Amino acid sequence: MQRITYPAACVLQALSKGRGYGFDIMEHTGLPSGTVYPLLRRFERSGLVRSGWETPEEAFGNRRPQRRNYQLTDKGREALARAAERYRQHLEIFDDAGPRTRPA
Amino acid sequence: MANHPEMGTSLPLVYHLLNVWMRVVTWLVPGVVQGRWRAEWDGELWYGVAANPQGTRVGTAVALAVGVLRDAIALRRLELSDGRRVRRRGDGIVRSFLSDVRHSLRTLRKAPGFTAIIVFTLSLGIGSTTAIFTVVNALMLNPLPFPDADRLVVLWQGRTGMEIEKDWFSPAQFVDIRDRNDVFEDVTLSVGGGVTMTGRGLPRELGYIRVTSSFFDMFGGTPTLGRLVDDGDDQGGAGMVAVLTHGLWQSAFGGEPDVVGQTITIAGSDFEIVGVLEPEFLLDDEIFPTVSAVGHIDLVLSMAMSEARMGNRGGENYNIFGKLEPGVTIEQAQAEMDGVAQYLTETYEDPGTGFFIQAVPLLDEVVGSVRQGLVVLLASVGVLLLIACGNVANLLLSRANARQRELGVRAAVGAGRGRLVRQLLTESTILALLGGGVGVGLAVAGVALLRRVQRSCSACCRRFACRASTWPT
Repeated sequence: MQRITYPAACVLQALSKGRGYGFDIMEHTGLPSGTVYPLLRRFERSGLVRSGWETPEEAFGNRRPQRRNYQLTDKGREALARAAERYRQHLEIFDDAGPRTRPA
Repeated sequence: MANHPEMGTSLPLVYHLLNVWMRVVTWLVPGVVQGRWRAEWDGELWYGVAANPQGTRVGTAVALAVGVLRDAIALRRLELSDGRRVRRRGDGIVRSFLSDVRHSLRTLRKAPGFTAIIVFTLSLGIGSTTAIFTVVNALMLNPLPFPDADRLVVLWQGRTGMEIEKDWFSPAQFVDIRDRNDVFEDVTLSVGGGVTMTGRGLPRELGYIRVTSSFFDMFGGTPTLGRLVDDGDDQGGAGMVAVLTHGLWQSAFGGEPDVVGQTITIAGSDFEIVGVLEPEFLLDDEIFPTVSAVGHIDLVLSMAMSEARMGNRGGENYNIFGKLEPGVTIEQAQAEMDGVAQYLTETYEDPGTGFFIQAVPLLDEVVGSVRQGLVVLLASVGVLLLIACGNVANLLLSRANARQRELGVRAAVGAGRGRLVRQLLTESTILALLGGGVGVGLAVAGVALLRRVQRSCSACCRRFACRASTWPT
């Protein structure tokens, strides 16, 4: 299992929050599209996410093209849990660093 | 543009531009996922651009454009790194090439008649063209293996009143030309013929050329043993010396290293052997058209420029070669020779003989008579090659028609257009390589045959030269 980078963890987290479309994930995480979509490809290849399409009725009924959505698999949720734990530990480094404000 | 029929009329321009960009970038995406990839981006672009009622910010549009490109690159990288995932490429490129080669060989083996006809046709075209080009290259394009060959000139004299267009010179005329020109860096006098060498086993017929020392200055040449003819040998009263060609040294003297210093008897005169020429030095009648038409030259002999020889105006049996000064054109040389001819006419010739001197570039002299024939021959085999290629193309085309079913099946089970084209190209390449290989073999055999024909011709010339030989004085 390869290590999950911080942006990857963010994307997994967005997916876990139900943000299943690429553009939604971009908006939610603030990551650029050039990061989000390649990550989704890798996740899908690694089995962390699976993809599907919204129904034609739903899309065409709203006079727009179908969108592809992504959902976390069990493997993806495990990966997110590991990544969250790791980045939580990283954040603890700053716990005694005082207030996170810029010095005047 | 979009995958929905009702869309498009009221969509913003930036959406259309991004869609065009996405379709351009599609070529990066592996073929089997292209459709799905386009559909996904179609939806994302719509959502990112068209669905935004506030209008699209430039930053968003640029970010989407970059995202499209990076996504396509990511997919391509994934494909290359994991052949199982999409289509087997990456190491699959080599694998699919080898597979194509194997399949092509199987296909060609199943049609031996077709393969043989193609290979034979190609090899005939390639072989004949290569063989004739080899000859053309040797005879016409690069015929003179001498330093500054483009500055070498052969002189001829003639007398229009006596209908003599091309004649040799006398030593006295050589002196006049040598002393009355500013266009030649060097001039050399030579005379050739056939002789019988005695004193070393059975008498032996040889071709010879007698030269002044400037001959080797002009034509180059280095000795394998000893030395060549030098300035001292030009002096009146100097002993007569001989330089053996490498071939004669090997055949008549067994390649003995102590041959230098020995004496050979030629036409009753003794010559001291002073050296052996390098094997590469080219001496033949085409380049040195001696009066006796010696086909093959075995010996180079010195020719002392004694007073008697230099005053000899009647023995017009000598060749004169010149080397143009750098920058001097053949026209300038001809003009200078016209002046010398004028002088000789006024001084020595009978009025009305129409005496003239002609300066001919040695290259033209050597290839002039065969240039047209060779060009025609080269063009002919070029046409033959074209016809062969046309025939092969027709055969391949008709076979491709007959294989439509096979190609259709391959396409039906997933082979893309590129894969089919690659397969056909591999087959054609293998056929071309086979044809080329056999063609090169034919070319080697053809050149060997032409060399044999050329050698037998030279032998005829040599026998004729020996029968007609006279020892020049």
